Amino acid sequence: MPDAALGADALELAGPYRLLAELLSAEPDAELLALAATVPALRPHATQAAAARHTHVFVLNVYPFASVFLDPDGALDGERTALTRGVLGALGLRVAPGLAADHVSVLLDALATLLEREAAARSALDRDRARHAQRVVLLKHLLPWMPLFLAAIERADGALYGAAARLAGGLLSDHVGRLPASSHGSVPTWNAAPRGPAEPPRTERGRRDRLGWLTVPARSGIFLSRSDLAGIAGDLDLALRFGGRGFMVESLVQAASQADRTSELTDALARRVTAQRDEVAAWGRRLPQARPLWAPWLELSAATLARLGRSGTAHPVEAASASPGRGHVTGPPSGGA
Amino acid sequence: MSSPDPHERPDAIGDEAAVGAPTGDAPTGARLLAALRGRARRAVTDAGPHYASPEGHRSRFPGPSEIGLDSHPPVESWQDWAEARAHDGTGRGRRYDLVPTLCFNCESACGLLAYVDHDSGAIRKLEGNPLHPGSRGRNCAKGPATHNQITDPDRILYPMKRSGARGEGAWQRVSWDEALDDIAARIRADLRAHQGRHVVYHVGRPGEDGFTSRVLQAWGIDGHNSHTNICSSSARAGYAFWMGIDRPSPDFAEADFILLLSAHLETGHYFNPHAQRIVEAQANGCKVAVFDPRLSNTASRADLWLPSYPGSEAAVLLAVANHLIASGAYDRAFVRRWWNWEAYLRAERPDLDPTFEAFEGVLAELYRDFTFAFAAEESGVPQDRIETLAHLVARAGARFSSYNWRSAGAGNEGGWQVARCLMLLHALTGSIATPGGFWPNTWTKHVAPQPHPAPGPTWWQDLHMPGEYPLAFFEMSFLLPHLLREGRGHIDVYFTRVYNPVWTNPDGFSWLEALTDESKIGCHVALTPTWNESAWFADYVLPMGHSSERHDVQSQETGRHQWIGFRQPVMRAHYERTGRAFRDTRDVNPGEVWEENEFWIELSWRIDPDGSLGIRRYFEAPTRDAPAEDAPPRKMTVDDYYGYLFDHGVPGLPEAAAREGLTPLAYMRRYGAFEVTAEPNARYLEEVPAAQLVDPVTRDGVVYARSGGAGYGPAAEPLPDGRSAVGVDVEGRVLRGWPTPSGKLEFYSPTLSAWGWPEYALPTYIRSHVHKDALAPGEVALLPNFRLPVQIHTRSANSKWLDEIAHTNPLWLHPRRAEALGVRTGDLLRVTTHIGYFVLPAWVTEGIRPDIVACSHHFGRWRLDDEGGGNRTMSSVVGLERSGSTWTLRRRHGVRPFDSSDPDTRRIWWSDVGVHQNIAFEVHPDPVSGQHCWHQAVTVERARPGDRNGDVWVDTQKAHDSYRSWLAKTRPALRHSPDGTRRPRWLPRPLHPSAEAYRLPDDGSPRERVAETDDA
Repeated sequence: MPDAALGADALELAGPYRLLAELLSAEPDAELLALAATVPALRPHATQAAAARHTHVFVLNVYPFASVFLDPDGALDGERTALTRGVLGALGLRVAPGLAADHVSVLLDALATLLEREAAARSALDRDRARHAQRVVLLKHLLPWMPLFLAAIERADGALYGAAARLAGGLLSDHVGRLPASSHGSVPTWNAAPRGPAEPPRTERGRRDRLGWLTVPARSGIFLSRSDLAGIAGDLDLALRFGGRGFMVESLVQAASQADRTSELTDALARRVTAQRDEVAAWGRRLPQARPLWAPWLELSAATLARLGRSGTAHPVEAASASPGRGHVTGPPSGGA
Repeated sequence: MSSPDPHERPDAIGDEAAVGAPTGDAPTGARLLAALRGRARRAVTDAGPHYASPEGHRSRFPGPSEIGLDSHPPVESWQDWAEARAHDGTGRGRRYDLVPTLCFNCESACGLLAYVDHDSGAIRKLEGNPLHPGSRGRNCAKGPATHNQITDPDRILYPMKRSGARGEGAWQRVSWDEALDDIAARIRADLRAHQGRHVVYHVGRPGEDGFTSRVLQAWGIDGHNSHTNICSSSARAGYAFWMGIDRPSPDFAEADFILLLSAHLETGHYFNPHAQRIVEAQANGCKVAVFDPRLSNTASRADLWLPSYPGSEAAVLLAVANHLIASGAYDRAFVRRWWNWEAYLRAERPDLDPTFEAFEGVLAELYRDFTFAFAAEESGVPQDRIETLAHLVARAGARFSSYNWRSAGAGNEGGWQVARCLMLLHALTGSIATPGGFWPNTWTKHVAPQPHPAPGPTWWQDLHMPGEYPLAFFEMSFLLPHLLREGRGHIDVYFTRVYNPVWTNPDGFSWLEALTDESKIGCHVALTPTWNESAWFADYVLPMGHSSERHDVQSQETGRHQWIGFRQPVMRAHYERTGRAFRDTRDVNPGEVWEENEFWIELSWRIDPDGSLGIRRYFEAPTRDAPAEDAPPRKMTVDDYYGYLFDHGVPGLPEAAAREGLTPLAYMRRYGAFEVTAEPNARYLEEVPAAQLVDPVTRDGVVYARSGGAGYGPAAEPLPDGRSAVGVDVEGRVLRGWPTPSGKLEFYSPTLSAWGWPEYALPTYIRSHVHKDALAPGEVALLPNFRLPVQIHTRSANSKWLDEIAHTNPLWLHPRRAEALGVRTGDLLRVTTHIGYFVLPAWVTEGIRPDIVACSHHFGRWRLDDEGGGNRTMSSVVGLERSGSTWTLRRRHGVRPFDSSDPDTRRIWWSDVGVHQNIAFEVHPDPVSGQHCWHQAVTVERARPGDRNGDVWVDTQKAHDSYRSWLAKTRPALRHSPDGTRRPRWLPRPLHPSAEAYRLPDDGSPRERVAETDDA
């Protein structure tokens, strides 16, 4: 698509972006549902009953924050939250007080706002500036985590939010395709545990914490929601205790061990890893110009499979706690620096 | 579950059928927006666009900034780069020619990109060169401030000759011809009569790799005098005794643990390229520990701060070593293969079986007393922090990296053992030449071989390398006034090259006495871009170029790679690109500012106009090792020189240039830097090829062969039968090994042992001259050698932006000490050294240990003349008074606004520019490394009545007495040389005299005898 066409249809993307931003930010009211119902992709699910799933999806299962997916500790309100606020501020976008800047709704609304800015541009220079800003938000802050995030929503909800996730995937893909080709000369990357296997965070201790990395996307390459874990437990007929995801993983491992089903659990986890890896790979095939963005996920998921012993080299789940060696005799663990 | 392809969305709104389709009832995006507009809650509001660079998104060089701040112009646009102009309104913008060069402030050689305005032909600004592999487009404050230096209204633009008494301040402008002829004649006369023994070149930070040393070698003189021993001698000695290579090159980017004995995130050589890699490592989970008695910015960013008492660092490092050894947390295979433990057992423990197991037993004994408790007691650092340090080192293993250059080593007597003990940790963990480890710098730095190099001098300059310091790194340059005072020689032509010995060295009044005594220094030629305290006492002041006004090649160890950078006169490149004519750099630089390369070539021709001295041939073109006999001699040009260097001395460059249809020189002129390799070799592990193993024999593990000439390998002397060392036998394989006599890492230094220092032959802890036990009652250790982030010694003083940020050096003292003295921030203090005192304000801060005080250098610059003779943005006007051996320096007034070509000089708001503390310091030459040990034992009191800020008083007789007392600590070559030489030949030295020059004379003359004589 020639550059000049972008400005003209910028608002065609901006509208649905903003609608999605509102839908994902909180349980929708009747007015918003009515607006959603005007969109064919959402129409069948735009009901109050479907909307009641908001808490289930976004509060209990699929946390809609970049920091959860991209930060090394996978926690809310992480480094990325502050970074994103700074970047948006520098791009001239003010985030409403009380909102985390790395919330998916903020980022989608930011894209909508920048598309409006582009449509309002009076000169080619202003238009280019607006596009540059879109590129930053899109490529650096949103797209890196979208494959895992959107797929997790679809797994957690078959109705309104699943449909919204599919819609978002399409919009983002279109947006990438519409940015001028020169924008793709270099794709910015994010720091996903850039080297070596997905080793546990060094501050973590003990068996339970040593499995915590499985629930940290930037270390494991996958996102496991509570409903994902419940699904695994159900498939294997294992008891599952409810709590934080790290705790739940631990309880699954214990239950599997007691039931002598460790190997089956490992297989089930490996299947999840493989499925999510395939999701990511599909995004790469669809948008080759942005493929480098997702390469870290593929490396991480490969390393995770290796650590699960399901790529033909390493040991089963129990070995996930083994510290990767460096070929040196090492001393006792740090006293904490 | 979702489908494998998330983009199969027949019902998505982005589709033609769904949105904006003329036939559907679906809303368009615009209608949706309008409908949503009325809703109360919006996540984001548009505050309006603002960007650093409108072109940012087109950049090839995306960096961490996402808002265009770090974007760089794409290379294809460098010759015509358009930028919007602020507040211009026309939208036309400014068009630039972008010319790469290198920064010349610190020694990092970071890449700069000069923006030459096509319309005005002026350099408008300097930013980073994104193609530079070391700095990667990022610069510290000093890089862009180069623009201040080239537009400095106080800079020297023409050759000047003194017209009154030396130091009187009367100058006349002379032509380059007159200056060159006069200086050349003096040098020629000395070369003819005395082999040039009275010609000295004294250099600050060189900023170049080999050009000037080649000049001195071509002249046949041992005349190189460097600032090294007020800077890095200690570190060099500590590293070289281990591995024969005197400089560390950390691979920070891939480290798991970094130990800094420095403030390396904020200051110091290479801090910009290094800091960016440290920060990257931190982002990847690397832990950082910092030794510093001050809470530096670096310490504040560390995971572990070790506020050790100055000089106790080695004790802490040895406690870590003891932990590694005692807990078995060391790389046994590495130690067994690469340490010279056999030599140690042979020499020191012949009673034991020569087995590695026996050595390990001894090793555990050697450091047993260096317990964590001892280290805590000695350093004042809490014991648990030292234990944490040990665990971090152990855990990082081969990914342990570190840095140590000036701070701890340069502060303390015995400070060279800091590097030796730090290296012990690397040698234990095997973190040497590994990813994320420690590298010797010669493997990560590319020095192109010189064209047509001259052999070294055949004589030895005792004024630089006196016999008392046979192991020094290198010349004892800061002792020069004392050596002259003792009558050890005189100098006829003394070049100070971008160097300010009066201000920079300790004991500057002794320098003033030497510089004003024409019987000691016949002619002082200051090669400098700017006036300074020393240039004022010169006979000639010759204006040299700044970063953007000179040619040099320079490479530095900035990571695990190798690159070479090219400094070039920016306007010369711009003239070439735009087809304008010029003869030499004087035609393109401001005034008659010249570059050094052309200056030295011209001077060499005038010294030897007919070639009869054998000098001129090294400065003739074509630059070939064997010049064509029948070709008429032509003066070498810089294009000849660098053309040859880049054609022959930089692997891969000719091919890279050819791919772009350029000559190697044109490639470097265009891009400014070239990465020689991104994967340097761990050279000690290279296998010696069979072709070099002709008739080999092995002696004590070193393999000698008749083929010889292998280049890199052990630094062992050849065998009497002519075989030379080519490698070491390591478990049956012949590897290159290390450039030490044993070819191994010398845990035990036979050299130190043989040259009179057996007690220091192993890494050990030497108590500092400011150790608490060494202080007199009431004394406290003063740290005078830390830098502040935006300045670099004296070289950056002509940068108004930097001066505005940092211009004073108050005394740091802890609130407890301040309370005891009854002073608050801003109150005046008198600090008394062993030879005098200085007066300065207090700065009370908790960011320093209570038991020391500290004062940054850079500041306290002064000048004698109201109108000039120094940078008026950064120097006080002072009066000097001498009475016998006592000197008083008193400030007349501080900095004031003034009229100049730069309107900013009317806007100067600061007046206090600090105190010149160095001039009140006695010399402290370390008896082994030769390092000036900067820390001072001082008393601090409230200023006395009549004391004024900036006052200095010194007795140079006391200074000389101090020099004599430190001289008495030495173990001179005449008494201790094991083989009748002046210095171990395997130790590095800037120039390389012939083997004969190394012989001690039979008459016992060099100069150790003067240690017994009275003052001259």
